Amino acid sequence: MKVTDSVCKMTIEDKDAAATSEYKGVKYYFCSKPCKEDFDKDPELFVGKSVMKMKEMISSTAKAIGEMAKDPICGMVIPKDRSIKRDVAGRTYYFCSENCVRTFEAPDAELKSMKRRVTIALTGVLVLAIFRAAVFLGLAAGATVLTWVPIPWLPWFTWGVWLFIITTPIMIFGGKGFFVGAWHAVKQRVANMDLLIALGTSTAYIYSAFVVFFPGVLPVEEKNVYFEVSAIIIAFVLLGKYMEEIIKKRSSAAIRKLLDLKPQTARVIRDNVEAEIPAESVMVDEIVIVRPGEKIPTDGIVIEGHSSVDEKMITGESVPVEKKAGDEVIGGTINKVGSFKFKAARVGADTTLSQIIKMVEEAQASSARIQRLADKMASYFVPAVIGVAFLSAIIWILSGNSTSALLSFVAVLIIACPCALGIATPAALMVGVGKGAELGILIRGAEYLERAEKLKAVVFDKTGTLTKGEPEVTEIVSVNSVSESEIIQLAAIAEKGSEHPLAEAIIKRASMMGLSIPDAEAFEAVPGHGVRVRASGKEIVIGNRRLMQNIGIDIKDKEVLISELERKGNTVMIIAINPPSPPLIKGGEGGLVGFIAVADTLKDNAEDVIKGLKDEGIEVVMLTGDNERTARAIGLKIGIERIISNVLPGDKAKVIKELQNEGKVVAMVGDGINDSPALAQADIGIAIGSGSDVAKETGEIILVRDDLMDVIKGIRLSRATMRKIKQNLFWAFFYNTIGIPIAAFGLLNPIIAAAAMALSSLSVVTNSALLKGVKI
Amino acid sequence: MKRKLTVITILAMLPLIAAGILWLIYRDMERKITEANKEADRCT
Repeated sequence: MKVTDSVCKMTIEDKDAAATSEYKGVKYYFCSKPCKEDFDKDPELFVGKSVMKMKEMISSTAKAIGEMAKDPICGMVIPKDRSIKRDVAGRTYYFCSENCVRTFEAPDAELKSMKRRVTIALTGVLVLAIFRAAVFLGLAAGATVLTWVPIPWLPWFTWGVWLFIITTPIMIFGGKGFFVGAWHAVKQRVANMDLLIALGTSTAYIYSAFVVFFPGVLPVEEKNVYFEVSAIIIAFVLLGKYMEEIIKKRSSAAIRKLLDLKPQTARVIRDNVEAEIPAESVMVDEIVIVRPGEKIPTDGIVIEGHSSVDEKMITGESVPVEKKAGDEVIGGTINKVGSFKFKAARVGADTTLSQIIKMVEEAQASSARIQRLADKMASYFVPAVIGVAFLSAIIWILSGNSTSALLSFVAVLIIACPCALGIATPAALMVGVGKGAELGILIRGAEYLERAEKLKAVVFDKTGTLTKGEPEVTEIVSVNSVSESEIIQLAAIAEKGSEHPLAEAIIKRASMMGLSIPDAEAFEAVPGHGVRVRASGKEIVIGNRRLMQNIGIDIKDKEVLISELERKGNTVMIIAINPPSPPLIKGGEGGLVGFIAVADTLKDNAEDVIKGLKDEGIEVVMLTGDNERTARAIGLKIGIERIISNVLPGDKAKVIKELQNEGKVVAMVGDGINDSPALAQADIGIAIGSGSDVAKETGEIILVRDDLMDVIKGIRLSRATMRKIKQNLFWAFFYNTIGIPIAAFGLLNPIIAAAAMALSSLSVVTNSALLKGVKI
Repeated sequence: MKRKLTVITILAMLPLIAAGILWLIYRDMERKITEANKEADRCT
């Protein structure tokens, strides 16, 4: 039965509860001992409905506790000193209960169990090989004890029994997963790789066991055993699956990284006192204080103060957004320089960041697992094999030989399962992934390569993906014969000391031009409009149209020029000196001196990449949270016709879904947290290496170098690897398929079975290694 | 019998050689991924 922990509100199974407590005849369940302790101190706080009491409790708890941490599984905020700690990859995680620890460690537990099964299977195969070599050497030396001739004092203990003893654990422990998978396939009336493996290995094992323990029943020439067939097939397929899992392992932590982004504490005003509380305890309409450099704890509306907020991770907007009273702020974004107070509007699961987390979870859970190529081939191969087995049996029965009918039926099933089937995909994948890593392209699993082959559309995020994500000075326009370097110098003096990215772009250009930037004597920031400074006997003003209007600078005749620059996606900064109103410097001759256009510039090869993709017959779409004017300017520059702008993070995933509904296999290339739901929704999520950790964890292909050309290289590599996988599957099936008619005619023997295994596995591995030499 | 066993022994060894090559490919991939991951971390 599911119950809710009355303290942290986590839902748990009653049998898994770490502690229980009784109050007024009712039993309460807790996820951890600290929750029970909190409850026992004052149960009325948790069973009662008083919000005020709850607030008091939270405030007092927040004051009492030391450093807080967030449980990466349930998201509960817990005191570090009372939590369960686990160190993973040099990082400490804090958990509220053993349940959460188990969930956190689950992916590794599955991999460990698989490693155990691979070890058992491979050890068994190795022991079999050593035995066979020993028998061979023994025979060469004239020994006969380990042949079909029983040992005189142990008449039943033959070579076959040894094989049976070694193979049985491989069948039970190694093959268990395939038998379960085959059973599910039978129940769903589908034929997959598991069914083929289960059919082939179990037939070989049961037939061989029958030969060993009832040798008198079968004619002498049919007394062959095929234990090795079962053992080697299981060992190889397990090894292949294990290697694929290792490649996938790195992609399991996307949600954890998103949870990390949530601010852990918030500064609120309660009872006219400022208190630091867990961010999740902030209530709607509460007043929250945010200081410079702090993360905004929840969504809300600014009521006092002003600042600029870096919202890039949520909205994709590369330039920090000015915030003043009445503006909306988003939880998880970073406050830059100023301080402000805001009223919480959305808390807990309703915040923008929580909604993104939910969308990533939903997209990851709903992404349909495609039928793997090996399974697809097996779905045709298995019915064909069973058909041939029955056909040969019927022909033998009609010819009056029922023993041969049974034996040919069994032989067809034994030879049908290719030993190399399990390694056909992972062998090529490993070479492909290795080659990709060398080129700076990390691929997380074979299924993404299989999807990349059918790719029809690539959707690019704009900021940080197609563009550099950092504004640069793109144009300097001089008015009244003032030189470009003078304009930049004046702007740099005014913006010196500012952390605003537009200011940084100007300072960077000034440094590149080798200009000296003297300190200003007086400085006045005009929030939302620009700055006014006094330096070297001049007043310098830099800002937008409204600031110029306010200080009496006429820019009407330059409006066309400014609008043209803005249409190209630039932010235009207007520079004037010694303005007439209000005059800081009396009697100075002044006026408009020029404009500086700043824009987020395109990455060097963006245009070539778009052209390259189009040449490959792939549709290119640009998706951005930025405004339409900027998006269209950039789209036109690089040749993207389909542009979707002003898109919220949730809508990005919807756009991908719409493209998928058009029947297209869609790849999404992005770098920000705002892209993660779309990356998860896309058939292939391609994350830029310089982007956020969340995007990298969500993406299935990661471009380590910040080079867009790797998108094309990644697609080409995927296609080359897929070609190898197909060739491998051909070789895997080829030798065994030749063996099927031999088996149907009753001519199968252990030499043919061993030859099929040896040739198919060697062909597959060698063919895969050839991928190393393919030029991408 | 002896010849049959010789052939089977040799053939049975071949998949092990294939497994060995596969292991080498795996180690090579691991090494390259580790290097690429380090580079990715540096990029962030």
